[in-house]
Amino acid sequence: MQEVAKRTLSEQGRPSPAGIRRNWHRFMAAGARLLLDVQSGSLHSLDEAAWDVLEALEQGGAYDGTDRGSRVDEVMADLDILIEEGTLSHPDDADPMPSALGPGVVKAMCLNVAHDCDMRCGYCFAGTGGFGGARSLMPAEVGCRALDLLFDISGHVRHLDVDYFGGEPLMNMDAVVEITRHGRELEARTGKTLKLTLTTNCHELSPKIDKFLNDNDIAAVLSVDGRSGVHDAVRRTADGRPTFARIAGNMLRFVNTRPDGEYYARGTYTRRNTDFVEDVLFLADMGFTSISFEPVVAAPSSPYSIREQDLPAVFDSYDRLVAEMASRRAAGRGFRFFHFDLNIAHGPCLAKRLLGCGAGREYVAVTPDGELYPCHQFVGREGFVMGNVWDGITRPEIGEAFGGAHIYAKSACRDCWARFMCSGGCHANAHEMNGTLMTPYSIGCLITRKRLEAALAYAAMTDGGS
Amino acid sequence: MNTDTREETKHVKTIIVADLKGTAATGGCRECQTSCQSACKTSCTLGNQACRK
Repeated sequence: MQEVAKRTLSEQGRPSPAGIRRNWHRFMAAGARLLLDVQSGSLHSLDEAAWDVLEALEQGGAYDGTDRGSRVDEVMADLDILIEEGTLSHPDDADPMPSALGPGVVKAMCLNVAHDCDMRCGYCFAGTGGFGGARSLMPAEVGCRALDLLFDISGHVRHLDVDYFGGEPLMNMDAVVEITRHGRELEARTGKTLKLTLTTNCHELSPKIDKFLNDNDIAAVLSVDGRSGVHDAVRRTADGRPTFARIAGNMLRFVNTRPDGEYYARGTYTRRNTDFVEDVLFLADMGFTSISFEPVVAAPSSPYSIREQDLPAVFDSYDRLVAEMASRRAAGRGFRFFHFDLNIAHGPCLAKRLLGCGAGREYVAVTPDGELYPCHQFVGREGFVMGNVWDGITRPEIGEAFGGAHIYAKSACRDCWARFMCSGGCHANAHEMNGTLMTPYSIGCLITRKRLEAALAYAAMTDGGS
Repeated sequence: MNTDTREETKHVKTIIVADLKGTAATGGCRECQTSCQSACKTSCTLGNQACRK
């Protein structure tokens, strides 16, 4: 590991504008002037004088305000104090290197227990459940064998994660029950911890399934797109009927049975509802207290995909969400929004942040036939079968290629201020949009940067967040 | 990192202290939740993860 330098500005002179732009991210959000020190992760607020001085430094010019004497010196002195204590890095410092990235250790699985779905959502990336192939359900023995493999190849790692996914996993509940029972047995036998999550469209959620999820401590991701008109325009049954009324009732009943259980009401926004802040608030008004909204995953040719011209409205939604969440929190009506729930002070270590996507290295998806793919989005893509649940990973070179796509290796990430918080983006999106793991999806980058600014502003407004 | 005894700043105020650089030497235990950067999964994104060490 390299020595952490604490070179003050007074010792080293004026930092380079390129270094400042890369390592000191100055931004205005929710009315606050903020400065993120990219390398330490510390967050600072700026007054107008500091803002102006930093702006001038970024542009390589001298500060030419009316009071350029003492206040400029005061700002520079402030920056030196922060550099000295380590909450601000010298902008020309090289990025730190972890001791070693090391080989991948698979510790999480996405079990596609159903390559089938009882709904036909317009934007479904999974080909409405079949992932471009035949519709099928995972036999319980395939899922149990997958867990045997996970507990085995995870080696010394004690915390394991499995997500029941699809398609729609509730179409294969008998297998989910059996696989869960097997997973709990493996926990008891090995001393490892298995966190289970189930992602569902909620159409067939029933009191019996509610009880099973609660009794087995299974986190739930509940798909709903917000306002009924927005939801029903996209999320329909296989025979074309609207679904909002039914799934909203099921969700409310379920959530009310688990006051302490983990869940997210999770929506997708598209170019048709770039005002998705209204959908988030609609769900909050319904009583959901853990909410997440994500941009649609869709090809540029899709009528749902987010285009560059949609971004101003998308960004406005995030700004409005910050203000509204802070206001509701102050009034005692707060709710959690997944992407604003940053853990800034005690987040993941540097080694983790070089490669946010765990696909192929730490995480694999399992098809109903037992094939292994780097992640759920790669399922069905030619050339990405990594092995199977019986033989294990037979093509480790695929995971190694994913391991090479870290933020220090990607030119678009290397100088991005968000590199340690975004950690490189989604490999599947990069591959889909650009045909390579090494070039991230640019619209996704723009949304991620805006969302991070909003999250940091929310943290600043709420006494430092979590 | 000690921010308790330092000289008071006038124009730049620290809101949240983090020490990502310091984890270059101490991190990498791999006990944290596996992250997924895909927009189609809410279950395991990096942003709100906590270090389990």
